Amino acid sequence: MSAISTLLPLASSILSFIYAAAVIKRYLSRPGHNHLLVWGIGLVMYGIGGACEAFTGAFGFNPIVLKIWYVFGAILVAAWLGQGTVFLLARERWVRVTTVLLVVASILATLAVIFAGVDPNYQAGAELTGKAFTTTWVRMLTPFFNIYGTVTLTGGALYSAWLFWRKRVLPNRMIGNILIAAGAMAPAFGGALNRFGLPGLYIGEFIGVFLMYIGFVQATATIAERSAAPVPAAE
Amino acid sequence: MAQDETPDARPRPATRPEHSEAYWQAMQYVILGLGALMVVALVLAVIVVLRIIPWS
Repeated sequence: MSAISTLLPLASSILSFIYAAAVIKRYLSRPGHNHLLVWGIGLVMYGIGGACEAFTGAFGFNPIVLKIWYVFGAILVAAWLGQGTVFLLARERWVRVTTVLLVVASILATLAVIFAGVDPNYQAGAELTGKAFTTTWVRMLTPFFNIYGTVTLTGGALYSAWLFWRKRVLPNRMIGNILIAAGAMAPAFGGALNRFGLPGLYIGEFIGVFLMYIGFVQATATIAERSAAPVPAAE
Repeated sequence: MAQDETPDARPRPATRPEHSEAYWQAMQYVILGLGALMVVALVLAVIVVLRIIPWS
């Protein structure tokens, strides 16, 4: 294993947990802003995924670590981050329906991965993949969660950026949302490369969490300066 | 102070701050470009789905 296979996901993991702590701290100071809590949950999943990748890079392949990674880092993370944006932007009825569906789907996916077979002699490459699963159909679950996550997280951030752009207000929030949208897409492209057997997932994840964190800092700094937001949009 | 209560002294909303029209125009292209990239990412995800579905 190369050092990059360990250090890059380790950096992603540490940054994700720092980001999650900032978001959850913000939630605790603003009770009722449930989107912050859901984003925090998503970021903790991001951190767990990175930690599993770093563990594999440092100590080699482990079937249990693969399963933890697959649940949090491959299946759930994007969808839960996107669900935070749904909490922020969608009507309450949609929030309720999608949350119930996501919770049920997440539980079923987790059970599917727990009971899936793994080749114990699998030789991991530079990046973790789901190829070690002998129950191959569990790998079919991932794209559906990730498509939902990409549409909601990236689409929501771009929609918010567009609102600010159209009204020509709060440029820092607009930039923050642009960075969040760009960051959300980086792991999506990295994951697609990973599926095609190409490296790119770990760097995509690092770029992704880095851009989203900078975007979060930008957007929240603006809120502190100008508390009256004329339009509802992603923080 | 009475002077502070004049419209000029009140905090203004952040409409059209220091940025030029060229800045906003450039941002429009950035947002649209990212939207196009999102479509590409979704197409890739659909290709992944099609590849893993056992058709036969």
